[in-house]
This record gives sequence, structure tokens and C-alpha cells, in this order.
Amino acid sequence: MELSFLQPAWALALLALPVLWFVPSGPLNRTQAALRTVVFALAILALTQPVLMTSAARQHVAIALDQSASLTPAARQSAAAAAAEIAAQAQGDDASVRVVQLGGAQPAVDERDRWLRPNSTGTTPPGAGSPLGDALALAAQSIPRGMGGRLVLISDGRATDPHWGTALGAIAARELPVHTLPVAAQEDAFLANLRARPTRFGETLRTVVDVVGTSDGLEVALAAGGQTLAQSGLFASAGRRAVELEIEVDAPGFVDVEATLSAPAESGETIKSRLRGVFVVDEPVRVLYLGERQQGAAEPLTALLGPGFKVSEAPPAAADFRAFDLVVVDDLPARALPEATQQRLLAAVRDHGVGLLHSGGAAAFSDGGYRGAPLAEALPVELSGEEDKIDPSVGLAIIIDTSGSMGGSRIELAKQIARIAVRRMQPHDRIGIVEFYGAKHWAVPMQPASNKIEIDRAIGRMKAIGGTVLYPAIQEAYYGLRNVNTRYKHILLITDAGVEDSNYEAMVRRIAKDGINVSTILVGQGGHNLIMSDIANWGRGRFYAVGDQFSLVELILKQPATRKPPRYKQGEFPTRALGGRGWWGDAARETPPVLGYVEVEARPGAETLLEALPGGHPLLATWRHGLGRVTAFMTEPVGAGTARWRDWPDYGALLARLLARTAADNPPFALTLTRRHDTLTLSALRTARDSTLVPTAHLVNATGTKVDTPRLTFREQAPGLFGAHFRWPRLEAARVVVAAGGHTLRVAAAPASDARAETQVDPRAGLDLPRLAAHTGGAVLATAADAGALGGNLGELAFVVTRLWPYLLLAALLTYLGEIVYRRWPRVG
Amino acid sequence: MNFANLPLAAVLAGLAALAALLFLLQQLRIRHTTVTVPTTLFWRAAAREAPVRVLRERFRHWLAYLLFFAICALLWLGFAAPEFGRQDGARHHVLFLDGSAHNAEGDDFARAVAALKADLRTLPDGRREVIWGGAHNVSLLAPGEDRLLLDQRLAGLTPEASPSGLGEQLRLASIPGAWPEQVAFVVYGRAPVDADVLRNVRPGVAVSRGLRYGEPSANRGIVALGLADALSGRWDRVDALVRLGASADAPPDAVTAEQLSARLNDTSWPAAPEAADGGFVFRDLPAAGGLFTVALPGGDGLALDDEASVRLPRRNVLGVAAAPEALAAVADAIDADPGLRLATPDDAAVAVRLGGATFGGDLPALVFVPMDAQDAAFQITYPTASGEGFVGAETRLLRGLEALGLDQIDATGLATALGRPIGLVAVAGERPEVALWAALLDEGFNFTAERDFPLFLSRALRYLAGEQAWPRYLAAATPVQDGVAGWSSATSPPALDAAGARFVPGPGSRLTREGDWAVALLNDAVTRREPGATVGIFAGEVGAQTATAIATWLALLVIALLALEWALFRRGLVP
Repeated sequence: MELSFLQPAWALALLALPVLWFVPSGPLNRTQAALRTVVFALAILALTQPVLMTSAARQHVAIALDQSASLTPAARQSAAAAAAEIAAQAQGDDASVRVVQLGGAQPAVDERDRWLRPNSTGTTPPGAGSPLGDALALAAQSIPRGMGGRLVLISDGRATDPHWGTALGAIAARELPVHTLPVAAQEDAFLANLRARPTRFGETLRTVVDVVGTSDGLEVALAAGGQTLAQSGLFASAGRRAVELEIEVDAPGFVDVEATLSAPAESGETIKSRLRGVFVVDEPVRVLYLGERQQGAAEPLTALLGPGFKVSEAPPAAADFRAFDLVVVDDLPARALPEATQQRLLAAVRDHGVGLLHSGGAAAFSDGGYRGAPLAEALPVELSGEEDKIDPSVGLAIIIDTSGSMGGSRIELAKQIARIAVRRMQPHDRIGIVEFYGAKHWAVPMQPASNKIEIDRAIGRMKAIGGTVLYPAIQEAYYGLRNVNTRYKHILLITDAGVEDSNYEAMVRRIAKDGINVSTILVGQGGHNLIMSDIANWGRGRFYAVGDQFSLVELILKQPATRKPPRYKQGEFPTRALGGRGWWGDAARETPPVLGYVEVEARPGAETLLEALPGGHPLLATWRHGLGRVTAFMTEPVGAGTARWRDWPDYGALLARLLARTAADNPPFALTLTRRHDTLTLSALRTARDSTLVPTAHLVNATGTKVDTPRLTFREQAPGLFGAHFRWPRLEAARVVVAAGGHTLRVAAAPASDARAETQVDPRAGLDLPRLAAHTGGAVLATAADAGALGGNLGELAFVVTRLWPYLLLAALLTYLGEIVYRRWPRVG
Repeated sequence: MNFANLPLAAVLAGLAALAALLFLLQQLRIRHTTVTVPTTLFWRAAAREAPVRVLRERFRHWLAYLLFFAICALLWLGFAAPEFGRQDGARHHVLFLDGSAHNAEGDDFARAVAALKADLRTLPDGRREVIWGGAHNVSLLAPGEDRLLLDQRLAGLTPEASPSGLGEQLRLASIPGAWPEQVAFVVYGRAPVDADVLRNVRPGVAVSRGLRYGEPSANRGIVALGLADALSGRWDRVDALVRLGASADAPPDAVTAEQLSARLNDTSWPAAPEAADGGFVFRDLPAAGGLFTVALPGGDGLALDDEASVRLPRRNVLGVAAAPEALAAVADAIDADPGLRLATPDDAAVAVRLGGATFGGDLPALVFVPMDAQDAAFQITYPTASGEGFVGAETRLLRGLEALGLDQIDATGLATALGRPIGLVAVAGERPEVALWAALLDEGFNFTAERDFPLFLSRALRYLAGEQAWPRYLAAATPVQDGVAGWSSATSPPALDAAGARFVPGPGSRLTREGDWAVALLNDAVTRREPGATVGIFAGEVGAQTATAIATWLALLVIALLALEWALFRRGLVP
């Protein structure tokens, strides 16, 4: 309790009270004078305006009541009744109550209550009448700082916009509990979402329309400019259904569509729901065609590929490869592509993800002079220009059993075998030794075989101790070899076969499939061991038994060889399609024969997509090179070798798919455009490795014309993350074009993309009432009666102010009346 | 005119009663019969035998009566506490006290408070309220509450490192029904009024400022502090960008790298930053969960933007144990991700296996199952024992969808290829698990060669391992930008979207259940001291008088009349 005075200076007037007793002079009735003094004193004290502040545990209860159209009529009624009951309970507990009502009929409200009618504003989408975040914000604001209180949200949770974060932030910061009372929503079928993945021009725009609700005889259509673009058949929805519709687009840019959900069989209004969307169609694949011997190939290539590709030609030396998604080097001899240009091209592939299609005949793969050139190293096939001796590199992981059972001569035998193997290695080979003795340990980590002295010492340090657990040792050797870049890879297992039972077959087969052979050597005992020979068999290696030092084996891990140059084979060669559907799409797998190709071999790790029969030589092979992809096509895509293919109806689609999958598939920036009321936030996250790339952006209108205002200014917020905020009418679509590093990117936000009509709120996107209650420390109420037992935040600044001066004036009045009565009361004279 | 303590009828009734009472008292006149007695022994008997002849007399001294009545009526009115200007239809006043960083310079805030209190005294209690506009907009004084409470509610409040909430408050005020039809918004502080916001306020909402400020001081501050994967490619390191901004009148000399101090936790960070466009980049900060703080030399207009902190992520290379039968499907993607490594089950946080196998034991697992083993192509199993029983399956589903990157995959293409729709379900279970059809991994299908697959795998494994998302950029009291936060984990709630709220609270607020992320001001408009649109100065409310002011005048008048009446009485001029 605290007493204070608003105008304490007036108290000085009390000093003048004795004057009453002497002025005017004359006889004085003391009682009367005393009474008058009291009257004056009370009036002067009232002038000082005293105030009494006492702490109080009074609670504020703020009720956010949803009466919007998404509720069933019965639910609206029960919600209103619940609100009234909760309010009555609270008032009975001496709490003050404020109600924030969303929509519905005009309530009988106190002047401090709120009746929100967001539908009647020009900035709210038609029918979007449940901004629950706003209702919560206003409800929370009705509880002053420091006062105890709680909120009760009576709603179906179908918030027509998702901007409740601001309100929840304030509520959480103030530790106000939100109790929620869920009520039922209408369940008629409606369109909840309309979406599509970004699509390149030339591809089919695949849209997905989410239909929520239960109904049958439904139909979804997409239209633009009054013209129907796609239509589904009749379907039934049981709760939720994703309807996929495809649209063909005729130009890169933005596609504005309106989806409608109708029930054709129903009488009256058949359209049940509408939704607008804006989709992005990216630029066609930018192809740089570098060709010389196939004169005029760019033009037929363009015709084959269709509008999804923009084929350009430029002199290789002057070309900026990073400005293209794909470079096609078609039958171009190496002399036309200097080494420095090749290096630039490979850098663009490796570091910037540009795709490379190397195609053609002899000039490309045989006698074109690429042997030893930088470009050849990046190709998924081996090519050679002349007969030469080759000493292929080898990676060897030796697993030596150093368990207790290997004691004595066995461990020495194993060491001897390992030393022999090491001696045969060349400096460009790589070797590692794993010992296992219950645990696994790299006695010699994988390293070049040039350091034979150290490796020999490491072998010498091995001792036979511990148990035998082979499985993880093989795993370890496998992982060690996986990252080694050598022509051949071997795992050599040296043991006395006292190993644990485990599922070796799957693992060893998997290792072999990855191009790593597994051989086994049984030491210290003669004869045969089933598990060791099986492992060698599964691993496509060999099994050896070394009984003593006189039967040591010489391991042949590689074979120097001579190789003839690949040659262009002419004739009619049937072909066979390999590879997955991702490469072939809907194209028929029965490919026509080729009339000529270069016979090469696929490199390990390359994926062969097409092979020529009968030799099974790769005709089309691909692999990744750094961030990009390199595909080799061992014939001319628009030349003599594929003359038969050009009559094949699927050839264009196949070639387009092949080029599209080889081309750079990651734009330099990932864009998002989010709307919050009339503010849009454009976010560009750099995905390219080039840290100097900076995006610029501008708005365009529906016809693609640049809009000058507002100007979009990116500001870097984190390395590679750029943000721009701008205002834009909420009911208009926002179409943004972003330019970066020669790329043109697009992103769009549909009209009122941050809001939904009242009856079109996806339940998955609504406000999760149980989660809201749990997050704020509230409870989910089953009925209004449950609210009575719930507490709220006890405020630390809960005070009641009592102004005392009216009561002082009242006291003065009574005293003054008393004085008059005293003055006039009959006296006995 | 209204009365705070009594209804009008009671006031009038009281006045009438007083008038009647005084009327009666005015007529109360006692006359005595003179009885001569020989001795005082009989005075009592004489008194008995000589009663008052007349109790009442005719009404006289009407001027004196009016004086008495005036005194009594004024005292009665004083008790009733009259207020002017509270009549229906009068304008409602929202006094918006700017508690943002805009108002943090010098004595700006104190001046704003003083001006607000002065204006508050002139406004009727019932038609005014005070709102604090800091990181959150909070009511300081509700309509009808005593203004004396304001001092209590203001206790401990100082401007916060937060942008202004004025725009949001004006937007709320523009919702029909949120406030009375006619509302005057008076801003006490430097918070700029956005011209677009001003254009969009509904008719009936008037915006003005409570006091006039001079030009703000020159200022320079930190307007961005964000993180990204290290350019060096090291998985366990991150880079941090510090971007600076300045007001137009700030001295042109640029801040040098030497002037920018940096600390990691409590230790000075030794490496100098690289100069970048408009700021600096600190390279290769350890991604170990430390608090990284940068600071500018102070002494300019605002101190709140001279220092900013960011919580660095905690990134570990995730060990993944892959069963040999499942290795082929994931090996390349794991190889390509520097944050993942193949490991044995003993050393792994997550397992990858085929359905029905026991590889990995109790580890959270990514499981490839036959198509006939589950209806949906993707099934997320979440543990129920994580204390999150309130999270519904739908929420889990949505969270999983985003967390796994499945919103990015070509579901239509998958469905076409498989001849079955691609679905996603969430079910409760003992341990986190993501199960998907093994058919998706067939070589002939090519999902593993899709560009989306590494993303899916990476997110799925981290989701299973329960790793927490880390935001690249957070600024106080702003929405979370899409794409700036990473994935969320299966066993803990998403970090920044408590109850789906994609909004960064103000500094000091709790952001996550696992721990707080540092949130700094980071606002261009504040640092650049942008003035916003020009609005008029609040001129007060014509005719509005508070109860206290009226009470003062009433009391003074009463005292004067009492003195007059006393003087007249003492001189015998009034009865």
C-alpha cells in the first residue's frame, strides 16, 4: 500500500487554517470554528489530490473468439456460448474480461472489446476473415504490462494468414498462457494449394493442386486468360487429394493461372472453389555448340532439341563458358581447342557446374589429338591416339591377421608376403596395411608406394596378439580404397582363417561391384579353407594357400600392356539402351542402329547409357566431373553415325533429355519470395562457388515489362545470402527477375499469396491449437467449463489505484452540512 | 460531461437532496417564549412550560441559501468527479511510446516520456491508452486505467535493441473494429512513420507526433551479421559477414579491420577479417557452438548498433553405418557430403539398412523397404517418448516433409515411374526412422542419380541424428526469411518456429527450447537514422479536461466560497 499526493504543494495552505479563528475578529463559537476548520482542511487535502495504491491479484482474461465463416453455424453458436461462459466465470472471480471477436454477427460488447471485421478492408483477400495472429495480438495487448492475465482462443485454427509469429513472440516473452478451445470447421471440399516445381522452357509444367475435404464427382481445371489449359477427370476426394495437371507453355517467363474446383453433376453453382497462382518458367538451356567438321550442325541440332534449348555458336578461344549451361564439343579436333581453352572449359565444368557433351567420331575420340590433353582426362571413356605401353596404377590394401593364432612362423610368413607385394609396387601405386587383432588398425595408412623403407619397417613392427575380428577390418580396407584414384584396386587378406562367422558375402560382393578385387592368402597350413576361397570367389580375386616359406606366392596385381588406338568403325551396329529412366524418360528403349562409332572403353565409375553391339562398346557414357557432368557420345549426334536416328521419332526427346541432364542443373542462386501483408521479402542464397557473384533484381508486370518502382536493392546479410524488402499491393501478383552471372532467374508470388479465403485454409497450414497451448504453458479445453480451473500469469505490477480526493470532498460536504445543522439546531436559551 | 464516481442520475438526485436539505435547514428557526421566574430553582420547570413556539419559519435569506447550496453542490460534484470530453463519438487516443532503438539516443527517451505524461494529463481516461513500442508492442495503460499506474508500468523500461513496431501497430489499427472509428495515434519518439504505411491506414486514423525532435546525431553501426559454410570447404568451419551502415551525415572515413574487434566467447578472435563490399568477412570460425561477437568503436549517435553477436552452429561430421546391402545406394552421396562419413555401427550416429535387418541395432535408421511393406513411399517414425506428445501427426508430417527436402523432389516424376502415388506419412514409434521404398533406389529408376537425392539423404540422416537447424541470419523482431534456416531434427522441436511462428523475437527473448540464439539489432533503417514520412505535431484534445484538473478547480472554488461564507457569517450577514 502506498499513499502519494499528486499536488503536494497545496498542503502549504493548511498553515493558513488558524486564520479562521481570528479573522474576522469577534466572539467565536469554538465548536463551530473547529467544524469549519475541518471543512477547510478536508478541502485543502483534496487539493493535494492524494492517491492510494494497493497491490491486487486481479487477473485479466482476454478472449479471442473466432466467429468466421469457416466455422459451422453450430460451432459459431457454441463458440459464442463458450466465450460468454468463460467471461462470466472470470468476472465471477473478479477478473476483468476483454473479448476480441473475429467476424460473425455484431456482438453486444463493452466499448473496450473489439469486433474485428478484416473482410471489409481493401487489402485483405476476399473471404480471408480469420487473421488469428491479429486477434491474438490485440487480445494480448489488452493485458497491460506487468498485469496478470491469460488468453483464451476459441477457434477452429484455420488462420487465413500465417502471420501469428509477432503475436506469439510477444505472448511468449510475457509468459502469458494461451488456453485453446477448438471448435469444428466446415469440411466442404476446396482448393487448398496450387504449386509447381520450377520448370525450364520446353519442359512440361507439372502443377499439383491440393484438394482438401471429402466429396465425389469433383473436377479441377486450370485456366489462363479465360482459356482452359488443363482439366482433370472426375475424381473423389476423401480428406485430401493431390491432383496433377500438366501445362505446355510457349515462352519462358511467368504463367498466371486460376484453378477451379467444380462438381459438374451438382445443380446450381458448380464451381466450389478458386485459387490463383503464378508459375515460373525458366530460360531454355543455353548451349554453346563448338563444332567444325560437322558444318551447320547447330541448326539441325536446334531443330532436333526443340524450344527448350537455345543453341549458340562462338569461337572457342573467345567463349565465356560460364555463361552457358552446356558446351557441346562436336567432332572438334584438339588443334581447334587449344590446351588453355580446354583448361578454361574444364574449369567451368569442374568449378561452375557447366555441362560438357563431347561427341563425334575419329576427330573427337581417335586421331583428333586429344590423347594426353586436359579434356581427355575429364572424359568418362579412355581414348588413346597411338599404340603405347601402359603401366596402370594399382591401389592395394593388405589386411594382415595379427591375432594370437598367427604367432610364430605364421606372422612371419604374412610379413614376407606383404613385403613381396610392396616390392612389386611402383611409385605411382598406393598401398595401405590394416592389421586386425580384435580391433582394426592401419599399420600403414593408405599412401604412395614410394616410401618402401617406412612401409617395410611398419610391417616389421607387427606382432601376433589379440583376437580375430575380420569383418570391420575388411570394411576399413574398403573405405580406405574407395577414395584412392588408381586404375586397379585390390584387397589382399592374409590370415590363418581363424575368423569369426559373419555375413561376408554381401559385403565382399558389394566391394567387388565397386571395382575392388579381394584375394585371400591362407598362411601356416596347407590345403583348402572354404571361407577363404569363398571370399576370394565373391571378391573376384584369387585364393592362395602358403604353408611355409618355400611356397611363397608372387602376386600379379597388374599387367603392363599395350593398347591400340580406338578407331572409327563404320557399318550398321545395333545398339542397346542401358541406364535408368532418368536418362531415357518416356523414350522407347529400342534404339535404332548407328552407322559408325569410335570404339572406346568406359572408365571405372562412368555410367554407360548406350552400347554398340556386338562388342558392347560404350556409345554413350557419362560421369560427374567436379560440380559438372561430362557425357561422351562416340558418334556424331547430327552426323553420319546417327543418320538412322534422325528418322526415329524419339530421338529429339532423347537428345534433349540427354543434354538437359548433362547441362548445369543448379542456378547460381536459390530464390525465395515471401509475402507478409503488403511487404515482400526476396531472398537469394548463392549456390554457385563463385563468391564474387552478386544478384540484381527488378519487378516485371504481367506482360514481362520492367517495373521501375519499387526499386529492388539487395543487401548481403550473410556470406552469399542477399535480402531485399519492398512493398507491393497485397492483391497483386509479384513477379521478380533476378540476374546473376549471366543467368536470368525468376521467382513469383501469387496475389495475396500469404492469405487464403476463409473456407480455403489448408488444415495443415493452420494454427496448431494444441501446440500453441503447449508452447505457451496453456491447456487445451474440452469445454468452456474447463477454463474456470485454469490459472494465468501473475503480474508483478498489479496495482489498484484509489483516488482519495473525491472522498475528502465528500467528507468536507458532510462536515459542512453538520456545521450548518449545528449552527441552526435549537438550543435551550 | 461524465462523472467518474457516480452516474448522472445519482449526481442530480444528490443535488436535489442537498437543495431540499438546505431548504429545510434554512427554515429551521427556533423562537422561545419569555417566562419570568423568581428563582433559578424553577428554571427547569420554566423551560418545560415555555416550549418553542415555532420550529419553522418562512423561507428567508435566499441569497444565503444559494451560497450554501453552491458550496454543497460543488463539494458533491467534486465527489462525483466530473470529466469533460468523454462523450461518445469523441476521438480515441493511442499514445505510442517508442521503445525501439530509434529512440535510444541521449535524452530522447526521457523527453518522450515527459511529453507523453504531459499529454496524458489532458486526455480523458476512458478514451486514451498508452502502448509501448519496443521489440513487442505492449499496452502500458489500458483505456480507463488510472494514469498513475504509468510510472509503475514504465519502471525498468528503456529503449530496446529492436526496430520500431509502429508500422505493425498502425496496421492493426487499420483493421475495422480493432479500435474506435476515430483514433489519433500520437508517436512519442523518433520511430519513423513509413510513408506506405501512412498511405494505407484506414480513414479515421490520424497519426501525429507528440514532440518535435532535432536532427539525430551522426551514426555508424553493424547492420548485418550472418553465417555461411566456410569458403575453404571445411565442414567444421563457418564464415561470418559483418556489414556496416552509416547515416548520411556520418564522417566519411571508413572503419578499418583493425577498428573492428571480435570475440569468440570471452576470448579475442585473433584473425583479421577480409574486407568485403560494405563490411568484412571473418573466415573459418570454428563451428562449435560459440558466441561470436563483433564490436565497433563507440561514441556515435547510437550504441545499440555498435555491437552484435551471433551463435555459431555446432557441426559434427556425422558417422553413418551403412549395411553392406544398402551401401551401394548411399555411398556416393555420403562421399560427396563432407559432413557425412561412413562408419561402423559402434562409431555411428545413424544407420542405413534394408527393412527387416537388424544392422545398426538401436540407432536411428534410414530403412529401405519393399513397396508392399508400407503404403506410402516415405514413412517417418517419430519417438513418442520425447515429451512432445502434443505435436500432432500432421505437424510432424509437415515438419518432416520440409526437413527431408521431400518438398523439393519430383514427386510427379516418381509417381509416374512407379505407377503409384508418392505419399508421406508420419507414425509414432520407439525410435526415429525414415523408411522409403527400396524400389526408388533401383538403378533403372534413377532416383539415386537425381540431383535431389543427395539433399534428401543428407537431410534425412541429420534429421534422424537429431541435429539442430542453424540460422544463417537473424535480426531482432523480424520474420525469419525462408531459406535461411536449415533442417530440423526428429527428436527436438524446430528451433525458430515455435508453434509455427516464423518470427525472430527481440533481443533477450527465448528462441528455442535447446538454447538461445543470439539476436542483435541489425537494422538498416535504425542505423541510417532514416526519418520516415513527415507528420504533424499533436495539438492536444480541445475541450478535454481530466478529472484531476477539474477537481483542482472545484476544490479551489469551494475553498473560496467557504471563506466568503465564513466571513459573512462572522459578520452576521448570513444566518
